[in-house]
Amino acid sequence: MNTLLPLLVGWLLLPLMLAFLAALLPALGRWLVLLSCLASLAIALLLLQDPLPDPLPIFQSPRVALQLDVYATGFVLANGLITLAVLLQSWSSPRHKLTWVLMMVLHGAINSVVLAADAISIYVAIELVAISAFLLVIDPARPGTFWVAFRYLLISDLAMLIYLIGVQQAYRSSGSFALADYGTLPLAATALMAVGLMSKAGVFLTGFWLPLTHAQAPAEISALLSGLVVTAGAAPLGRLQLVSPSLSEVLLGVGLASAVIGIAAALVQTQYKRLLAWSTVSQLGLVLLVPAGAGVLCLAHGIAKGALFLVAGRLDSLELSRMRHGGFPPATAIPTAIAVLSLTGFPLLLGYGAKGALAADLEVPWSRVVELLSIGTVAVFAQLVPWPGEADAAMTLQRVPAGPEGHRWAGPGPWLLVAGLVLLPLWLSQPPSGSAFGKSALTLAAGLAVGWGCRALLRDWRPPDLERFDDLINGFGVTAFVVGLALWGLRGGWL
Amino acid sequence: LPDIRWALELAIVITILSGFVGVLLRRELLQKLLAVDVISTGVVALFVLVAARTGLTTPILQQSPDAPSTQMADPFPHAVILTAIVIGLSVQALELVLLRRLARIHPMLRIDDFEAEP
Repeated sequence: MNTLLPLLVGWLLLPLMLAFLAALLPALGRWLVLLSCLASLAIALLLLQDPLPDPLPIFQSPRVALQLDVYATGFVLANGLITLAVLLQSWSSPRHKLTWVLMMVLHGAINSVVLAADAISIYVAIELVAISAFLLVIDPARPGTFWVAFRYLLISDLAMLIYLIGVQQAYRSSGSFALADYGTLPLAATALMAVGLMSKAGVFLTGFWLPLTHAQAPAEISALLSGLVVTAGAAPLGRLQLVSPSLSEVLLGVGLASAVIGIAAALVQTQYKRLLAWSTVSQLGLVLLVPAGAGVLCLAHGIAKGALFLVAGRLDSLELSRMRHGGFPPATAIPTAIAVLSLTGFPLLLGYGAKGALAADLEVPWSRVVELLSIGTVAVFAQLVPWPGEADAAMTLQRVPAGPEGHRWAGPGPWLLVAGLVLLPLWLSQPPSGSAFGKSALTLAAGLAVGWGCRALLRDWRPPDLERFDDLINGFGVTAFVVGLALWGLRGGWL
Repeated sequence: LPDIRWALELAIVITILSGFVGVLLRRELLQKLLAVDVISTGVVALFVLVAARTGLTTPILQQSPDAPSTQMADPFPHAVILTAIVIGLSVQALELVLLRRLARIHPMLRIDDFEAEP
């Protein structure tokens, strides 16, 4: 155990120090990112092979705690794999000269946030994640990204201030910043901390800044945002849920609302990246349902969604109506199909074990609801599939020409992630039961039917805009009030 | 000074709420940004207030052992909020730089102009 400690401290500091080095020696940048990813992957695989029986404290002063435990494993693995995939995908064409530096800072900050077990380390690491993600979202060549990035940082700033008010209340009552001491906090403290983190995780109401940001950012950056940056909110929120059971019960409702609204909104999108982003909202809602399994769920979702966004970066057209009719070259359709199957919990893929863990940890009515939600997930991605005989006169005229453009390779990044989806279940040994295939085929068929039905019915309907800035700010107030009220009720306040 | 404590707390809550209202109601981005800064001032004051529970003296240990050490302010909230101030400053600086770029697109910096774009 003690021999592992210096190694772990070195691993935590490595990406941040390499980022400095990359700023001085830009030519080395991509190799240094590679080194940090491999270090994280090595640590994660070490932990998978030989899980720690007890949490291993890395720094333990009375008020600051970083600890490595089983909870963090999935997050670290996701961080290593997704950063590596994004690196390979943009290996020869980084968007601007700071890309590698920022990717390393983001990587290091996410490692810290998943290991942090006190409120202040979480705050500092999340701010670091937010700043590096903000700078990555900005694409100097596209002024359209400026407003999105500004909005992202302003909302993130506000969310963290609300979180800090909660932390102050928590410190006043418990005299500590360690999450382990936060079992019985005043209502306001728990509610405010949770609302701040929920906004960072991109779930119901306060997190609705997410779809616009993830859809507007460059594709590789969207993969980082949807796969990793949301875990910076989800991981500490899960830790808070684990010490505070009443918060867990409240967030069950929030998670389900988020999952349903995410699917409903994704069903009516007309642009592929917006569909993917709303699907992220729904999947993150599922992560809130079982805090103990948050790592595995985030891993399965992050890898699949990362692959989907990376493929989207290589497509000619992102309009769904066009993609249905020949916009999807076969070389890009295969990784997309595998990632989608994993998201829907198809056996033999990583998503199957994650969905299984989700259903096993929930009580009966809720596990049924989660199964229904997988049908919804299939329905969302049914938007990519034309129904038999579906033809759109306007679309057949402008069919995408099958030139060299049409046969473009999806790139190394998505294939790496898809390999992860196929191989990791072998490592984690999740053998599917015999009935799983039949059940999954049933889900797929039902989902396709629902998806096609919705498309036919909602052809001319436009969804209400849920993403205006002022509504998001109102959302903070409303969510804090509702979460506070629900916590109060659970603690017997209504009786 | 325990008797003015509630007044201080009330003033801080009013500061935070007025910042929140500013973020919500102001139409220009610069004013929204400044309103967030008002909230952050309130949050800093909250932490200073919680540190003052244990005393008001600067928390520096005296060399002589017989010096009174009971009335010191709690150093932990101070350390935390100092970090938060530095982070807040750098975030605000980044946002202001980006605001200058945004002003080239819509010089009035009205939020409705930016939200109207696809």
